[in-house]
Amino acid sequence: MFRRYAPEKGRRVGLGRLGALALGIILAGQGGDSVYAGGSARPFSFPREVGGILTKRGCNNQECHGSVKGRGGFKLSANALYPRDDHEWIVQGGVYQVLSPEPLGSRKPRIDLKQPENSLLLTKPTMEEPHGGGDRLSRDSAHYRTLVEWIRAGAPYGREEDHRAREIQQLEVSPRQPVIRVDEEQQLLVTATLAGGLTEDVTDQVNFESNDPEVAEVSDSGLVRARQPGEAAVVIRAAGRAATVVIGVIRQPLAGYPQASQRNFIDRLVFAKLRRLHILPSEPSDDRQFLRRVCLDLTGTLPPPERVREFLAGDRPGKRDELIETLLNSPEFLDYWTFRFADLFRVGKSVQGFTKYSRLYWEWIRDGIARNKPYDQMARERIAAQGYGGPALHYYLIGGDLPSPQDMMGEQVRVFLGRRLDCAQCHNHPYEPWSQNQFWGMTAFYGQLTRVGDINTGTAPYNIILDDPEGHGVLGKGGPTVHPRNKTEVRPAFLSGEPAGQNAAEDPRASLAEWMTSPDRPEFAEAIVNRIWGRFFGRGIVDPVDDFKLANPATHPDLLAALAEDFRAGGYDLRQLMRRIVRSRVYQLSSFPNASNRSDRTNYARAHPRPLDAEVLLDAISQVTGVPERFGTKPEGTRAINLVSSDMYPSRFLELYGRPNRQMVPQRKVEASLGQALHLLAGSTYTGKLSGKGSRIGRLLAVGASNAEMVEEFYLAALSRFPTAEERGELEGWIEGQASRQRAAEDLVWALIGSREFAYVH
Amino acid sequence: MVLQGIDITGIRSAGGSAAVNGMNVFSPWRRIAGLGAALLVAAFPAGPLQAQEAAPATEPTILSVHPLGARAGSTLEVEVQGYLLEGARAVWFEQGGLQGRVRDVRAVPAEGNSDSEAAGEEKPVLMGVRVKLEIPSDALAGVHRFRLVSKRGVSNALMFRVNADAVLDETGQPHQTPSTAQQVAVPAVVNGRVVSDGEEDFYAFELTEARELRFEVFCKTPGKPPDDVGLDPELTLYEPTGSWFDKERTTRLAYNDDPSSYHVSRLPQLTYRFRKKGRYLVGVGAFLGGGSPHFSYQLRIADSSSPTFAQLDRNGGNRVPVPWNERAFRRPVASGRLALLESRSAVSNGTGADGRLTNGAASSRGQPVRSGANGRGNRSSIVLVKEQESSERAGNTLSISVPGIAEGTIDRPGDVDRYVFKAERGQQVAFEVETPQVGPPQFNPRFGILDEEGRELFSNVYKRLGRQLTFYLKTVEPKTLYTFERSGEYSLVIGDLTRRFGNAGFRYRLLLRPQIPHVGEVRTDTDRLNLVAGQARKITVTTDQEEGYSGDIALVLDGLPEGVEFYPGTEVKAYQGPVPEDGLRPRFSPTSESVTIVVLAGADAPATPLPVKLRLLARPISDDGPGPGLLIKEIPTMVVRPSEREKES
Repeated sequence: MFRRYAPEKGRRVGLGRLGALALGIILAGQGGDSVYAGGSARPFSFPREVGGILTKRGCNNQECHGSVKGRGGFKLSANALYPRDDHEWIVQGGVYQVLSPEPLGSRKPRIDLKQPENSLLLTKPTMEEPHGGGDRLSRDSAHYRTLVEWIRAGAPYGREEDHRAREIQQLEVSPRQPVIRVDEEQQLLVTATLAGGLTEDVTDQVNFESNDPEVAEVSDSGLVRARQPGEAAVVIRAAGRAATVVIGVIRQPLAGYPQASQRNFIDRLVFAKLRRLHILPSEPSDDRQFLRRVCLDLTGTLPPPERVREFLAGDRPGKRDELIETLLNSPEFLDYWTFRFADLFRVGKSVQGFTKYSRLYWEWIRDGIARNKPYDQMARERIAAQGYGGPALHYYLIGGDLPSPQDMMGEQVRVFLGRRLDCAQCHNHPYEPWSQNQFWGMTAFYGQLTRVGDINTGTAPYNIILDDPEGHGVLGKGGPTVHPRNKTEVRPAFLSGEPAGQNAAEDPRASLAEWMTSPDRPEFAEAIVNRIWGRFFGRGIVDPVDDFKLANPATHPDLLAALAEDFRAGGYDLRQLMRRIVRSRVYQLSSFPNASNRSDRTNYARAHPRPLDAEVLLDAISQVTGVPERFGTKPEGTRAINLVSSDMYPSRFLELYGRPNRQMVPQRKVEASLGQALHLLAGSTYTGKLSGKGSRIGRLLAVGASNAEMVEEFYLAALSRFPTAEERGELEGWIEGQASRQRAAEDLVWALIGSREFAYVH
Repeated sequence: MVLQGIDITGIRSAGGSAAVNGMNVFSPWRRIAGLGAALLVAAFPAGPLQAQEAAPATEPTILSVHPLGARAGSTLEVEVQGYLLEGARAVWFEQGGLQGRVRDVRAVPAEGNSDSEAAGEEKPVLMGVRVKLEIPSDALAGVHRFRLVSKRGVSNALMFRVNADAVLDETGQPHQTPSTAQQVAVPAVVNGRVVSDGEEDFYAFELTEARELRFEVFCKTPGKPPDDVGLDPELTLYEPTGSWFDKERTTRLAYNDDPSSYHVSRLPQLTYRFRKKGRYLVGVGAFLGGGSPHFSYQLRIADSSSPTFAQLDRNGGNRVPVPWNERAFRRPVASGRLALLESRSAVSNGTGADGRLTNGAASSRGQPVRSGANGRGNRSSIVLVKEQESSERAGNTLSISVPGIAEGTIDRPGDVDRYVFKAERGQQVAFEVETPQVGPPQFNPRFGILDEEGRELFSNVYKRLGRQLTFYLKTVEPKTLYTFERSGEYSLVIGDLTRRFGNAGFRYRLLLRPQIPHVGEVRTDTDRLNLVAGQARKITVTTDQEEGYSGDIALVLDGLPEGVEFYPGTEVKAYQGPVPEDGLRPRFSPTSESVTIVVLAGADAPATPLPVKLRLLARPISDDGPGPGLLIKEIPTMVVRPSEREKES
């Protein structure tokens, strides 16, 4: 266990690239309270010192003054990300406005230079005056004294060069991956790397916050106390920087932790963490579980009974790998992953406006999957799409108008980088280091996007998408991008803040596409491998899969990085990525828990049952019953996953089970609902298909299948397994006792397709 | 009994089974009736007529013919279906060549169209007319337009295809699955029909070697009311590969719906290179899956080198007059263009189809105005300049004169071709672009004219305010007018609008010429005219005046049946609301005027046994005199006696 260094009695500073001389200068420059106890003037650094105190004390977190408009008429930037603004709000006062840089109303300074102790900055957090945020600062604390000294010194901002030298570039937390037992404590040590290369112990200057105090709570000083087994992320905030450390809590270390066999780096990294957390992985899945799981995950299709029999009967060592290859090259794989990406890329009549446009767009997706087009190429084609081709049509909305540039940009970033920038549209992002300026810099890449063509004219009944300096809209919906606060024209700049080069002037979105998919940027590959991983495990390494942020850290950062690197090195090959995943031991673990992993949800120690998506479930019911669903005028036998514009086909079943409308990047609802339960009881999908024309029941009865054969056939069809001896005995006897075999068979099938075992991938 | 948490002995309701079907039910009658009626207020010598409903819903209308084609030299029976065909007595081929005889007329059993019933509409009787067709062995291959004649008059036109090759009929056996596909031998032409919702007709064929084939579907596509019944076909190629899940499973090889626009339905065409011998399938269905007895089609499977349906139609079949097309990227802008334009001006003294004005001529303007004919060029001096990539790479800029034609290819993404030309102050120049091969929306030729400082003076992108007034509407225009303010040398830069695309098919021809005031397009929607004795019908004609043409345009109806007269009329137009800012409209659009012609059949006008061709002519008029008559349209016209109509109804 780490010993905590005493706070406010000098700082432990490690030697960085600078030598001892520089160290001495820095030490002299920032010193402890005692150095300036006599009141002599000293140089202040507002960003580090005042910003650091406000951060440490939680004044500028997003629940308090760091929220969008601040609190009680006092606004601070979250985490002291924008110290210039903070200085102005404190020294001059004013109420923040979203759409204007000018403060609202009269400005009331938060400091009193003549009587520093009477400053609101001090009287509020010490509760000398009412303060909604409660008691945050003690009058006898060093932080209080520092603030008084700073006000007394005239509340200077300080010199920029000093700030730059002392600016925190990076935070490191020790230990990096702590694992502690329930009721044990662990002191966290936070080290900052400064701009000059020095490192500095800033444990006493940062704010600690646990995202799950029921698992592990953390004190103001960084002392972690374990409460119950699990994992909790502790977010550490210093002025302008934040970091996260994941605390593992175990009940008892396992003696003699076994060595699990590994097939690839996925196994190595996942099992290493399980070992660290003393969680045992479940046993490998049996062939029944594996067969059903891999078929549904790769193709969205249940294996037919004859294939189940064949697979379960075989005992060749490589049969799982052979099956994986068969599935990856099957037409069903193409159907399913076209569906999956049509979901992500949002194909729909109500999205593209016209069924023909949706079809053309869908065909582009299907072609990409069929040809195994590198994913970075698909992304570039979509982000930078021009002309009349499939990807270009995804921009079009009904009514003839295009979405706003900010919506288009936000969607692409969410889809391809897994980040949600929406908050930064109106203000600096409250949780992440993304400013409003960066948001609009990115938006400017879309400011020139224009639609040419007019569906109502004879010579141009189509839409062409291109970038035109004049833009598209006449009411701020295109053309030169204008910052909503300061009303100045914004030039295209990447999320990193780096301005776009000269090429962007002519083809801005092509520049953006190159930047977003650059191999130098980990975000692009990480976003898609995380998304695909989430599909196979029911949970992303970062979850939700498109919400990468500091407060939502990866459970397995090494694994995420390794998957992304493998994906990059493999030429952004989606099939290869899936092959890696499904061939791993981790993917092939059983869903039956053991004592050590029963409560674990995040470490992939076993397979967790996942509900089938609405379309897959409906197709599975049709497949088992043998009665296809009829979608409007589509050919009989059309599967739900093969609908191009799914929104054209109303379906009570699909709505109940969470089909998204694709108006936004889909997030499927997976919670069970009362409506689903009622539909199970009385809905046409569950009841009407049992005895529909051409049903499997009808076919079996027609060929004189015995009760045993019938039970077996439906178990194989629905659950991809043989019935157990107990199930077989009970069910056969039950059917025997029914007056009508038809009715009994219908009840059997209804029960099977209504079971959780059927409705879940497990 | 409990199975994985579900009690199967529990209550299981039979449940409601009302399937949700959100698709529109096909209802041709609604579309016909939905046309509405325009009021006609016309001044007549004998006093005003009563307002009368335009009568598309009361005219014979044919929706489909099946089969859709046959081989030259054959005789066959076809069924034509439609409305108000009671008493159909003749088949009328517009251009002759084919003969048809009506065998019988019967009511087609009702389909139970709940859509109409629910709406409380009076349901018309769908009639079937069996026709015996005789196709001479020397009949031209291609499309032949025909109409039916009944006592109510002449119907709209449908197309019947004459094939040079043998034509198969779709089997009567179900063939809507890959396993039941109808076997055909390549090359093949098959007449089929997508009757039911969700129907996809499968045809199987064997290839003994790798081969490149073209697949085409011909059919009547949806058009404008009242004849908008049509199939929007899609073509799909499959290989019966089977899969691990399903041994009957097919693998889709290619698909083509030619979805270039929602509003302009095209006939699909697919060229595919089969890499190995084997059995393959082609499926024909409807884009959205809807079926109808009227959805007849003809599928053609042929070597990719053989002529397409479109090529066959250009070379043979029905050679109906092609209306003048002023602004279309596919219109030819060859060296004869100037002569053609001059022939549409008042100054030209060529003789047209009819050089005289009749007494009842309607004018689109009130009085003769002097024709503005300035800047006319000498058509013999047009110079063709062909762009060459080698010259372009060498940095050479080609010179072109006015008039002149620049011809080139945007053969790669980002390719931009440059030319220079001289223009005089005040010179009025027209720029016309043609895309002879690939055109919009794939290739969108954008040109800009730059002055000597490299500033773009104008381009062929027409920008104006959209209807919702919230966005700019932009179109790439095939024709642009400009008057130069300064004498000097100018550059012409042309490329693809996006600069992202380019290939050998991105060919363009750009004509620079003096502006020639002339009559542009003259349009009327009237497709046929069934006149009831003692009653009147109207024809609305819209004329375009191009490039400053300020003369009059006289309109003439020639070939009137006995007892029929025509008069100028007026029409009340509904207020359309304020016009949004329409940019530099004169640069890209003509001046348009509409005129109404009222055609009156006298009470004693004798009935016509067969349609006569009423010829609509337009004739430019200026101070210099009348120009040649321009044939605008031939309108099949019949006079019907009221008693005959009453007898039928």
